[in-house]
Amino acid sequence: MLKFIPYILKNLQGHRVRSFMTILGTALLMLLFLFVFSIQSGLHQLLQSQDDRLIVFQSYRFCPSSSQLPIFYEEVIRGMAGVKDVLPVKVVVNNCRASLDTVVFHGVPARSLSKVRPHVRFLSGDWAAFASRTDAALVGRRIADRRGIKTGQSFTIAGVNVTVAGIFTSEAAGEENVIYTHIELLNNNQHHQDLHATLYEVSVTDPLQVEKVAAAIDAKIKDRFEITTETKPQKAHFQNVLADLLDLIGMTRWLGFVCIGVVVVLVANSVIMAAQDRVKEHAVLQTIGFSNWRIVWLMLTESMLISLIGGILGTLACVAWLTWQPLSISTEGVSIDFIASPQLIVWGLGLSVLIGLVAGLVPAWQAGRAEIVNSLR
Amino acid sequence: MKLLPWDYGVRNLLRRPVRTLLTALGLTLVVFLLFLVVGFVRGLEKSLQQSGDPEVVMIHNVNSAENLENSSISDEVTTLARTEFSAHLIKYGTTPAVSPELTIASRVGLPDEKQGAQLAVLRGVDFQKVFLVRRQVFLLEGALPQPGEVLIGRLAATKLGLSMHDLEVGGSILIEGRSWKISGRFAAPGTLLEAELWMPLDELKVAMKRPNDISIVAMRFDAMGDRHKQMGYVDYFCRNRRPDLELMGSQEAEYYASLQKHYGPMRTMTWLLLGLVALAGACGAMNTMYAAVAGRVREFAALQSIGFSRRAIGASLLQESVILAALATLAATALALFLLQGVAVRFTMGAFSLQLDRTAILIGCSVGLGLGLFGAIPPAWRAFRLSIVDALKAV
Repeated sequence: MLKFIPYILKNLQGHRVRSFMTILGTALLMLLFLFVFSIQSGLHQLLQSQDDRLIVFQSYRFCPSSSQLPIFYEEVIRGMAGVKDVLPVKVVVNNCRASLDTVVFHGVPARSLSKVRPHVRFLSGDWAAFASRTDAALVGRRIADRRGIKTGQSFTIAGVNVTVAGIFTSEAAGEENVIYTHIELLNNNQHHQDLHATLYEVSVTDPLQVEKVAAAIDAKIKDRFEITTETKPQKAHFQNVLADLLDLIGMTRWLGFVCIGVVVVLVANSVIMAAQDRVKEHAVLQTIGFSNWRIVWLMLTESMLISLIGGILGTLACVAWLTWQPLSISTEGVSIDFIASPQLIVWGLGLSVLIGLVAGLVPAWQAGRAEIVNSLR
Repeated sequence: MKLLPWDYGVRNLLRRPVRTLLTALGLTLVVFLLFLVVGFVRGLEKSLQQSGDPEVVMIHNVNSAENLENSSISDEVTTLARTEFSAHLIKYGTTPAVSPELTIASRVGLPDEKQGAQLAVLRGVDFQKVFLVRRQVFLLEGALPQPGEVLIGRLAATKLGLSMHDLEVGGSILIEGRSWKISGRFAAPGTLLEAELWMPLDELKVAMKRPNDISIVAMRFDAMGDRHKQMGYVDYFCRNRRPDLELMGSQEAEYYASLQKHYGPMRTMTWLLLGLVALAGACGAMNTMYAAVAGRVREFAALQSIGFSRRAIGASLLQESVILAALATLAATALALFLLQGVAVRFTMGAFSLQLDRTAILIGCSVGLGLGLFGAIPPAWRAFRLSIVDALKAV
């Protein structure tokens, strides 16, 4: 079949406008579909992230500002069986609602951060610069790109004034949308005993025991203190926080499916036109010895090729967009990145071939079954 | 100008039924997508616009101007505000329209826990006063809450991911581990309040362990008064008379307008994506019209030879394309009104209904017809480039 590719390309060139319109339409719709798919990818990555961490949050609260846990809970949790490490985090966001431009501050004890975030890679700045100033901040790459933040610069967002000590990149889902700063700064520089944390991030010694450790933490705190906690594995915590967005993301999935439907119709229409234009040509090909199946395959290859070219352009456009303009949607301080992953590229290309196959099946079958004599007339 | 008969264009559409049907299907899907997104954007915009009463001014914590759920002010502010602004407020008898409110976002679930607890906004109010300020709210069924009872908005079930049946009047819900009886259901058409749960202020304070503070004091000012002056009094009170209480005054309508700003990037992106969908739809329409024109070059030349002008033939082509687009737009509009209108969507901190109002339908239909119109122009232009003699010779 490969030796007929030049013939198929010639056919496409022969109807330049039609081919161009079909490819353009396919590319635009594939771009839209993949864009939607990139949110699903981001969500999947976030919910599939490692689950050996527990998040201790104030019971029944969800917006970061409404969870206020005393700082001395850190010692209580640290002393429990099965707990490897505890990180108190004070979260401040400029907007609790769903937004594409949320700024999330994580206030943490400066000296502990390098220990619990060893995977963080600095694009500029370092840990020492972060520890040296009380208003220092480490800014995630995505948020730095989005807001045009540079190392050494000072800025104020959500009433928090910081100086950038470094910009980092991280493979942990959503982390590049976070600005790390000192927990004291987000507590208005109160005395240590008066500090509050929004949540505690707990690493456990045995990941299989997370549920047991979570229950033990909640029970111990309920037993001893007035402000109770709700401890969940990180994945369950994210699922809880993102519950409202999941509906919206579910709706975008339908949007993507409708796009695929439109692409199928667009390509099918184009192949039908091509088949109708070439009734005589196919009859001649059959006369000189082409089998019915070969005609079917010629039409199907044309359909798949046109859809694949559109798919390649749409995929490239989507990857270029998400690389040039990193996007994340956040709610209550948790961010879902729009991810241009290798799977996204494979999906885009595979799906476009499949669309070409499905869209071309009926017209190609009809073209292959046509009677030579009738067609020649 | 002598025009071609109307049914000439219609008959041409039926010459290639499969092609016509597929194009119509593609356009229907495109316009339906458009309605889905426009309905979402309009629903969100409208709920934010209508949630803010232009006569209502709120006093809240100075640090919570963007998130009133986070506001915390002393409950003595209610008395202070009533005394301070009495002369400028709407009064019912001798009672000024002042409503102290505590808003908290918390988890709410069913007693049998058949579904995990979901997030919802709780509003503690004084039911003797709240309706003096919240004039959009009215009782749909049941009664105002007594101790241990809660009044639920008609979109609360959507917000909680439950069915209306789960939240029937007389039933119970769990809030922060405590069971509350549903005393009634309220509506506040088109506002975000409809997704909230209201209970007696004092009870919510106790339940949330916030005995001495509230979130806001909402006041309804006299609409006949000078709004600038009224806001000036509020500012003066907050900044100069009681700076120790860290207060700030905001007009409710402006607060909700500021929330719209947060959704700005999301709206921009939505419109951009819609533009892409519409462009793809135009490609489909143009493709069909190019094919319709390409096969009829000789026919057009013959029509010109017998006296029809190019403009008349062009008009007929436009007619064909617009009829096709109009049919698709009608089908998509009917489908959207049937499937999408009023569908409740939960969104952060609330829920709202998809709104296929006049504006949404105007946008959808204009784009649908526009696709047909602009889809036909380039092919028609191309068809008339050949001279009549050359076109008659064309194979």
